[in-house]
Amino acid sequence: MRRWLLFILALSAAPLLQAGDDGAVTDDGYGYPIESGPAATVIGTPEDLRAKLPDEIDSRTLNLDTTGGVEVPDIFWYEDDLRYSAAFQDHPAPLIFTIAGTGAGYHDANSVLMQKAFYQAGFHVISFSSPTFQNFIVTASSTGVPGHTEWDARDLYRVMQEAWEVARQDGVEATEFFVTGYSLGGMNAAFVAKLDEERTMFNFKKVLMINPPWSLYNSVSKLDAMVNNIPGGLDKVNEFFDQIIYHFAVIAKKKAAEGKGSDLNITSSDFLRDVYQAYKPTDERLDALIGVFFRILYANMAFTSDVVSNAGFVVPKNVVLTTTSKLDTYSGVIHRETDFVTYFDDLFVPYFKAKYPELTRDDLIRELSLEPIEAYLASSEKIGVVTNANDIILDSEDLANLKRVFGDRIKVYPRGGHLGNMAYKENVAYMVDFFKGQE
Amino acid sequence: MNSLKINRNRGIQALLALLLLTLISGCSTTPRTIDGAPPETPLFTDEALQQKVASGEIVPLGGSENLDPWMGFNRSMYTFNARLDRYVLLPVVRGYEFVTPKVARTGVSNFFSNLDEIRNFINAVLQLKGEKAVHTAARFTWNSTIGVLGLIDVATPMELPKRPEDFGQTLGHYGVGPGPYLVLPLLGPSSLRDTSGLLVDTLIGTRTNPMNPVLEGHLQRQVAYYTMKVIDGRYVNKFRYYAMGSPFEYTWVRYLYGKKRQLEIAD
Repeated sequence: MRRWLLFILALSAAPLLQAGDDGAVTDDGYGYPIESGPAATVIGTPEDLRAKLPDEIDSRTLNLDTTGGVEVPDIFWYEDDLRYSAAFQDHPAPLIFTIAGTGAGYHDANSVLMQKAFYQAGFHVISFSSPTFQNFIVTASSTGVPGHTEWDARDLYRVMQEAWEVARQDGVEATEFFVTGYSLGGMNAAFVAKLDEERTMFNFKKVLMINPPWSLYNSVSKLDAMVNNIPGGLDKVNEFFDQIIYHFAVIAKKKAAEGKGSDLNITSSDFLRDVYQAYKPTDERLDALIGVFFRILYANMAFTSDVVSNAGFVVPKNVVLTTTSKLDTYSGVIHRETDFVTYFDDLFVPYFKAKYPELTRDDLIRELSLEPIEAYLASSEKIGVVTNANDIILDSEDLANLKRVFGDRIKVYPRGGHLGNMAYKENVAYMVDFFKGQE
Repeated sequence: MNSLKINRNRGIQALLALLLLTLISGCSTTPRTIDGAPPETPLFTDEALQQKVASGEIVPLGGSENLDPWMGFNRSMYTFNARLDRYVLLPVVRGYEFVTPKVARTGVSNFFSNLDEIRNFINAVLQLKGEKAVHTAARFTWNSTIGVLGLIDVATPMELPKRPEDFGQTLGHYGVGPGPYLVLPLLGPSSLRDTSGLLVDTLIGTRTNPMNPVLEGHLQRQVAYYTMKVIDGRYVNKFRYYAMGSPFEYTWVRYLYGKKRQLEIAD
C-alpha cells in the first residue's frame, strides 16, 4: 500500500520536475519569470502573465481646490488644483485609497493597475499622486519640501478627507476604509494609518504596503548610485540619455503605426518598459537606465520644491519664473548635478533644521524610515507588506528589518525586483485578496 | 440661430485676443523677482559648476537650445495651446466620447486617416520610394472599398500597417535640416521645415481630397467636416499637457519631437 502511494506521488510530481528543467526559472512554484532584480524592475510583467483587467473602467479625473485661494507660482499656472482619480461602485462598498510611488502621479501605470484591480473586485477606489509629484507639491504640500514622512502623511490625510467629503456628498456610500500604496507610497500609507489612529476619521481596517523602502534615504542612495553605470560616467549622461530617448521614440513611432498613439510620458513606469522593448540593454546599461529614470523624477521634485519654497537651490532666490522663462540651463544643472542625496542635504535638511533646530542630519535620515513607528507597525495586525527578495531598493539588512517587524504579515516573493511583478496575476490576486479577506 | 452666430464670433474674438496677449507677453524679457528683491546666488552653485555652465560644458538634458532660437514665442504658444486644450479641446473631446460609441469614433478616425493616404502616397512617390508608394496605394484601395469608404481599417490586419509620409519628411529625405523649432497654434510641435511641408501638404490636400465633390460650395458641410477633423485629431492624440509632472515638459516634448521626426525621415 505504501509503495503504491509513493509511486502515485512520484508520478504526480513528474510534470513539476519537468517544468523546472526546461524553463530558466527556478522551480519554486512562483511563475513570474524574470530572475534579475534590475531586469524585472525595468521589464515589468510580460503581457500574457499579467492579471486580466478591463481595458477601461468608469473612472474620472477630479480636482480639489486645495490651495485655499493662494496663487500658485506663474510657472505652475496649470497646477491650480490637486488632481486625483476615482472609480466608484453604484452600491455601498469598502473604499480603498491608493498612493503612488516616488515622483509618480495618480495616473501612473501602477496606480491605474491598482484602480482597475480593486474596482473590478467591487471596491470604491480613490487614487492619489505621490506627495513628491509636482502637482501635489504645488497644490497640497504644506511645506513645499516633500519627503518628510510625517508632514507628507498630514497632507495626504487632509486631501483624503476632502476627497471623501466630495464623494460622500455625491452619494457614494463606503462601508469601511482601506489604504495602500506602492514604493514610497507604501511607506506613506503606513504613516497615514498611524495618523489615523489619533484622528480616527477613517479607522482604516486594513493597510497594505507594496514594495516599500525600510529607509527612504538608504533606498534612494542605492538608486542614486546606479547612474555610475552610465557608459563613460556621469559626464556622458547626455549621450546616454540620447540613446534612451531614441529608443523611446522608436516605440512611440511603432505605436503610432498601429494606431495606438503614445502619451510621450517619460515619467510613467511604462516609459521603462517601452525603452527596454526597443533598446534591449546590457545589464550595466539597464542599471544606468534605472538610475537616470529616478534622477529625472528627483530632478522634477527638487526643482518644483525649489521654486515653491523659494529655497534658492538651483533657481536664484527671489527670482520669479514665468511661463516664458528659459529653463534649459536649470534643467541641465539639475539633471546632471543633483540626485536625491543632494536634494536632501541642500534643500531638505536646511528647511527642517530651520523648523526644528535641535534635529541633526542623522535624526532626519532616521525620521525618513519606518523605524520611528516600528512599535506601531509590529503590533498593528491590520498592516501587511508585499515585497520581493531581490527588490533593488532593499539590502539584506532592510529586508531583515521588514521581516522582523512584520513577522507573518509580510509576503516576500522570490523575485520581481522593484514593482516588476506588481501586474503579475498572482500578485494582483494577493493584493485584492488581502482586502477581501479570503487568504 | 443669429445669436448663436454672434456668440461664436465672440468666442473667436476672445481666442484671438488671448493669442495676441500670449504673443506680447512672450516678448518681455525683464527678470521678475519677489517684491523686487535682488536675486541671490543659488545655494547649489560652487565655482566649478558655474564655470561649467559658463563654458557651455553643461548642455541641458534634452538637447541644445541652439535649435530653438524662437523659444520665447514657442513657450508662449505652448502655454496657449495648453490653455486651448484645457478649456476648449478636451471638454469637446469628452463630450464627443460621451455622445458617441467607441466603434463610431474609431470609424471616424479611420475615415480621416484613410484620406491621409493620398498625402502619404504623393510623398512616397516624391521620395522615389516605390515599395512604400505601392504599400500606401494598396492600403487606400482596400480600405476605401472593402473598408467601406475608409471607415474600417482592413489593411492593417492584412499586414499593411500605416506608414505615414508628409512633405516635411520629403524635404528631410533630400537633406533639408529641421531649422528652428516652432510651436504652432493648435497644431503644437513643428519646425520651420515641417511647417513649410505642412503648407505644401495642405495646398495639395485641398486639391486632391476625394471629399471635394461633396464639400465644394457647401459651407455648412465644410464646417462640419473640418470640425470633425479637429475633434478626431485631438481624440486620437494621447498626449496630455502637464501630465508628466515635469517642470521641463516643454524641453522633453521638443526633444521627443525632434527624435521622432528623425526616425520618420530615416524610414
